[in-house]
Amino acid sequence: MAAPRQEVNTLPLAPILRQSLLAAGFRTVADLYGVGPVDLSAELGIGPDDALLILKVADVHKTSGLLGAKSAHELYEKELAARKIITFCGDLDGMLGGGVATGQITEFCGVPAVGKTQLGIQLAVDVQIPAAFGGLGASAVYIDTEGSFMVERVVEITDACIRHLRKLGNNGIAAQKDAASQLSRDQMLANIHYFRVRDYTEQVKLIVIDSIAFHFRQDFQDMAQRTRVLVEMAQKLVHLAEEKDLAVVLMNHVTTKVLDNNRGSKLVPALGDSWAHAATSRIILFWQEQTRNAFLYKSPWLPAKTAEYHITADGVRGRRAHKRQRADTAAA
Amino acid sequence: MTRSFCGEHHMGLLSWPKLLCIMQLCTTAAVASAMRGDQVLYIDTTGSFSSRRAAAIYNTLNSRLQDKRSLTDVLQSIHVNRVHTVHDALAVLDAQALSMQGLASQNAVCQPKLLIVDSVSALITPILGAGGTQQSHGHALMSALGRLLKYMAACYTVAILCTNHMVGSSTNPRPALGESWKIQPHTRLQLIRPDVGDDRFAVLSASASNACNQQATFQLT
Repeated sequence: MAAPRQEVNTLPLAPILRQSLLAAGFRTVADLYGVGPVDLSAELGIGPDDALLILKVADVHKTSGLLGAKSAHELYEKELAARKIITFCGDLDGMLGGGVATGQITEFCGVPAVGKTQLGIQLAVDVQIPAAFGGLGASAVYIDTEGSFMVERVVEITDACIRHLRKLGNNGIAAQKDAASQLSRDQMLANIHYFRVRDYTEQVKLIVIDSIAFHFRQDFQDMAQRTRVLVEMAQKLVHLAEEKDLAVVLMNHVTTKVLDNNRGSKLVPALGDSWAHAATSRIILFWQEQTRNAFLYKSPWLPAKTAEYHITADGVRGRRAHKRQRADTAAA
Repeated sequence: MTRSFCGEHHMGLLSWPKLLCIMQLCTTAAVASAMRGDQVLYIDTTGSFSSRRAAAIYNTLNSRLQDKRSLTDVLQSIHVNRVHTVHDALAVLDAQALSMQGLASQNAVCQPKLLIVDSVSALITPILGAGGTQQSHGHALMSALGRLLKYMAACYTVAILCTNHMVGSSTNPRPALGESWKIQPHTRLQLIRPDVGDDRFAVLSASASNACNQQATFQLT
């Protein structure tokens, strides 16, 4: 039995090139072996550039068998060594296995005013924490689709972060003290690349999209097209996250799903079932009595868990920091 | 584990409304197979493969098995390819088919025995249903992917495991990708999680060799 090979009709080429290949009798890429660009160009009646393109696209198969496969062992060592982006809330970071990870998509969904934008801003500041403190020391891209990004709030959170790191630096090792003293509010603000409604180099390690749901919930006529666009976008984001080894954080809305048999309704993440597969990790933010909570709903390797978090004047914090701050303001 | 999901020469399909379960099952199948000494190729399209989870699963299975390969050996037997478009996936599968042909002619023992594609729906959904000529090309790519996988299963005695997600209402869910994809796998297992209880069910909804509608219960730990 002939070896199964890829059909030429499935190569990423323009339709006219595919048709001319089929018309000339080429069925699989195996048929293209040993055919030079001049011969191909004559046989198909196409220009030499097109012939070269066809051979380049099909030629990729001649290189090493596993085409960029990495062993799970290599990935394991990389995963263990990877640094995370913290949120400054101990419980939340613990739930996420140290913080938001690079190389994957993490999605936060929740009702309005539960703190999604605050978290996004906190992460955009925290990705800049210097390596001396165990951070990534890199910049962030913030894509704002809802206009909820408030610069004054970013300044508050940045200042609080610098204060915190300087305090740690004074009590810690020399390298940390140096790194903390080099931080400046202007530099940190400059490292958050803000886009109201693209692509960037430098050492960007975080992309926050706040929110991914907004435009897709407005008025999409064709639902099938919406699904296609969403899945394609998800694939591109995963590709970006993996290739550039950066963290992609998406904010999503929640919507009400009416349950069958008159069992009432429940809140589910927006954008439907197909979108549910897009994020590598998914966290649902919700209110319980007067407290904000985060539930790790989906993760490749962490167990499901809930963590409490607070939004304070200094940004996102855990329970203890929140209590301390309340005690401070009460005493003042 | 591998045998219960798909025999050799066969292509098995898992579909599931919530992806968490599928990723766990795929990783478990990969680790179990690698622990027996087989090479595994894992094509990860959504970035959900976690080698830490694989290591955790190894530790759990390790306590039950006699013949112990080390964690490093097991992880080195699982080759992960991260692709995000159907063209990249076809290119990888083609290169893999070529390499397997070479190994088969030498009667090599390091021929992969399990090939996992997680998930097919992430690759195909963006290209399906756009209307006009685009639609037929999307279908052609989907069928070509199915054909290539089936030929590889038949030619090289390798088990192929793919995953798909479910669409439709909760009372009447159906596998995504439509009727054209439905006929591709030899075996199809539908994973169901009822709203109450921790138990999940796997229902054999299509099979070339066994009676259908058999059900098995399992739990995720």
